[in-house]
Amino acid sequence: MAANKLERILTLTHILLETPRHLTAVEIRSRVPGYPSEEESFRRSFERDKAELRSMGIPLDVDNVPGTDPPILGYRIPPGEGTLRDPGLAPDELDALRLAVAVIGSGDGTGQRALLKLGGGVTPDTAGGLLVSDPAIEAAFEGLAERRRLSFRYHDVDRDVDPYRLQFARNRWYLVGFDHSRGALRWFRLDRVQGEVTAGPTPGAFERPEGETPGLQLAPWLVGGDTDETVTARVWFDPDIAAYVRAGLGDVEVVGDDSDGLVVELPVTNREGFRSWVMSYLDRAEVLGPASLRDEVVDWLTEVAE
Amino acid sequence: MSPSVDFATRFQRLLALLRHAAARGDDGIPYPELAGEFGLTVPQLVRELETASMIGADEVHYDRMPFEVILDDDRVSVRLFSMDRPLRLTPAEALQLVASAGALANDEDEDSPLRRALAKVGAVIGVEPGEDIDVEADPDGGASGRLLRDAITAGKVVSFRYWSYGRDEVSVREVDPWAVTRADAEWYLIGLDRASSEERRFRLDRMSELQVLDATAGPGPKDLDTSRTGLPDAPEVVIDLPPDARWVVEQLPTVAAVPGVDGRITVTLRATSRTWLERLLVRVGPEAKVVDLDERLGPPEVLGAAASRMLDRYRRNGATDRAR
Repeated sequence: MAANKLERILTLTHILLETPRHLTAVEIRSRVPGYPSEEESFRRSFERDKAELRSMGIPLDVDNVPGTDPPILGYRIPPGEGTLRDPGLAPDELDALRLAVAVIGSGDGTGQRALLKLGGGVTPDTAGGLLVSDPAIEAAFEGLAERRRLSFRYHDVDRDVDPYRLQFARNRWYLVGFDHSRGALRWFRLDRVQGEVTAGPTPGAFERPEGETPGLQLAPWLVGGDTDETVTARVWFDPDIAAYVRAGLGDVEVVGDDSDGLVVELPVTNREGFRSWVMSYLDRAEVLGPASLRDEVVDWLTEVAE
Repeated sequence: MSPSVDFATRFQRLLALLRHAAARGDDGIPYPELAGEFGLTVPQLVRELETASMIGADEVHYDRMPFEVILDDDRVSVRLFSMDRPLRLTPAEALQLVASAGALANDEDEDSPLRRALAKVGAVIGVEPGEDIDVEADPDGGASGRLLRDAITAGKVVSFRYWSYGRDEVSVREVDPWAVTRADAEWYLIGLDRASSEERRFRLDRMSELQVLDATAGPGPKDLDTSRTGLPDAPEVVIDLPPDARWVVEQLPTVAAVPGVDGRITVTLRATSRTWLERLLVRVGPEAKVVDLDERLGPPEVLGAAASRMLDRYRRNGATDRAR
């Protein structure tokens, strides 16, 4: 059974790739061995095979067969679209990809199939599974690669978004893009999308602006940071936790780091996010300045303490 | 890869091995070599090749066969007339390649094999790695993760300074290391804490001064559950949150979250310690109200203690901009 299917799909792929014109279902049945002779079973079997081809990334073009009257639908794999330009990977490059897919990939066979298409052998068995994937992420990626506009619902608003950048950080996928419903650049957590992400029908629907797309901001003092005026905050941390704080801070200005503690300067564009973050260190952190920011924290603490 | 793979993988594998064999020209390739490359036994390989040799055999015109497969005693040679180019990658496949390679390529030289492969694949599918797609996926827990794994293999005790975030205490720990495991975005060490003789979990990013000691560590339990997270027995607290504290529901594991009036949310959480709860209350601010509190977390009246302690610090140091 399985061998028959392999033979059948291979033959089907072959004749649909090679045909100079669209082939009718009747022609396909006569040239591909293994289809049932009964009309209804053939239809079902053929539908399943078409779905199988599409799921493997093989596009099918359906159109009227020339010269038929009344018109009869025919099928073919559009010339040039079913195949990939061979990237010409050297053996050491394939090996490196193989290892990366094994260590990082989703572990569900998708990366393995991709490698096989590019001429690589099998990947070693490993845990993998670091890069979770789902249809929303894949649709976003398709939109990104082909410059198609995406549609999805996010925070209860229907959005049309030109995808500029996909970013995986802190175990999550984020999308940065131009949100037409807001008229501004926005980022989205793809696991928070409500329902499906659909990529529009038109490739090349937009041009990504020149220059680097701003990266995703995860620092709490910067997130969503187009609401507040930027201030430079100076913050002290207890020397006992200085090592852990520094490791998590990324690129910030370190003013001092000694037995008196760690003092850093941060650009704050989101005061609420900044406050919540500083508060999480309890009395192992202190906002030193500027005075306006320090006063805000003192007022906040006074209210909580009451 | 086991022979019982799904159909799509089997199909792509057959095309890949035909291309692999065809690249050797008319001399062909020995069966064991080709089988090894694709994780098959020789009989499995021969069965797949025989299937391929059937394709197009029913065609009236011989030249319409997609490939010619010649099975000799010890080797196979293949000529491709069709399907000699890779089939198009699905978005999911392309994403896996570019993202996996991108995650590891960050740390590599400009012309490492992986960076070169990534550039070539990116060019074919139309994305610019690092610009269009950027992946930060710490695959092994960094230097600490590697050192801890070495200690586990060698059966040695480790010591480190640890910041217990829940209790807000910093202390030096000696631990028999059992496993390094990842949960959500964080890496953890599971092991026996020597001071308390209990199994504990430690976040790798809250360790410093990590050392492997000479002392021999005992082995972990055979049935160690590395997936367990959270504290099923921890005491519960119910808090009525203002709308702007919605992040609590999004970021912390909740037992229950019930929408209230005016966008408020009543949330039930498990508190790992009183300090943890006090920290949460300082962060969510004066608009949050504790509705119910497990008595193991202490009396409800003085939950503002952390805020008072912090306020003392600010008052001691003066209320104005403090230069150092």
